[in-house]
Amino acid sequence: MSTSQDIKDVIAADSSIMTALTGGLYTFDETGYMGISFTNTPAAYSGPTLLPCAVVKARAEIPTSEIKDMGQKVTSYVQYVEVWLYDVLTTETIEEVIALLYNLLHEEKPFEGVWCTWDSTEHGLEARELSGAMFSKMTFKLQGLK
Amino acid sequence: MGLKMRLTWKPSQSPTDVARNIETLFLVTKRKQLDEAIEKLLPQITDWMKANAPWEDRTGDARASLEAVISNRAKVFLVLWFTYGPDIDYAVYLENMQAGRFSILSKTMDYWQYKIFDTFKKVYGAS
Repeated sequence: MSTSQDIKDVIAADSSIMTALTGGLYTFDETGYMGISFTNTPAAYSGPTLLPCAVVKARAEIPTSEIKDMGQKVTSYVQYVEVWLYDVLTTETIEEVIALLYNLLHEEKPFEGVWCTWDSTEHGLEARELSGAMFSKMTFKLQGLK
Repeated sequence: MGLKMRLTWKPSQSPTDVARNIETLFLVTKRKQLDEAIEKLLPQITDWMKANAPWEDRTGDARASLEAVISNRAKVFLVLWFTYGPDIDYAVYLENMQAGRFSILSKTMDYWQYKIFDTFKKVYGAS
């Protein structure tokens, strides 16, 4: 299973977050390369209106060389995971979900062998491809061994 | 990376002054080495950004404008930017549309941050 799916599963198990995200929670693999759209994620819309929804996207795993065992082929790595949060007109729901995600994932082990810390949040951005919907991007840093 | 320093101890100086001078000289020398090492990386990073920007060119302006630069070189810090050129007013769109489908800056950070950190470690002798 992919890291995006693992993180999505952890978030999806939180009923407060899923209640807020009425448009659903997706991985970037599920939305396809076009992201949120009428075609790929119809459940993210109520009629023509985009509902609060989120896309989980994992970036590449990067070896850090902090822990290394050449004989056992073990290396430490980091991987940044982004949660893209979309809504229209207001950012209230997004802000609420950001706080919930922080509580859920920051300084936690979301799944075995991985330590997760909050890295950054970009607020109040405009998704022009979604007719100017608002979005925020929350980034988490995963540290693990492989 | 070799370290070359020249230190002159005047008879009138106290051992404390000498120690302080050694420390200052060490830091200044190391900082110069760090600047040189990072500057060597800049064209490599810039080439990597241009080669790996995932969009299909229309004008080629956005790709051509990608650059890694040092924007601020103060005594105690150095600011390294991965950036689009100032004329690319649609850069935000490229970075953010469709959940970062065309993003290059975060990929650059992912790929280069530990190489840059390794450069710091080599210069300052950290293991």
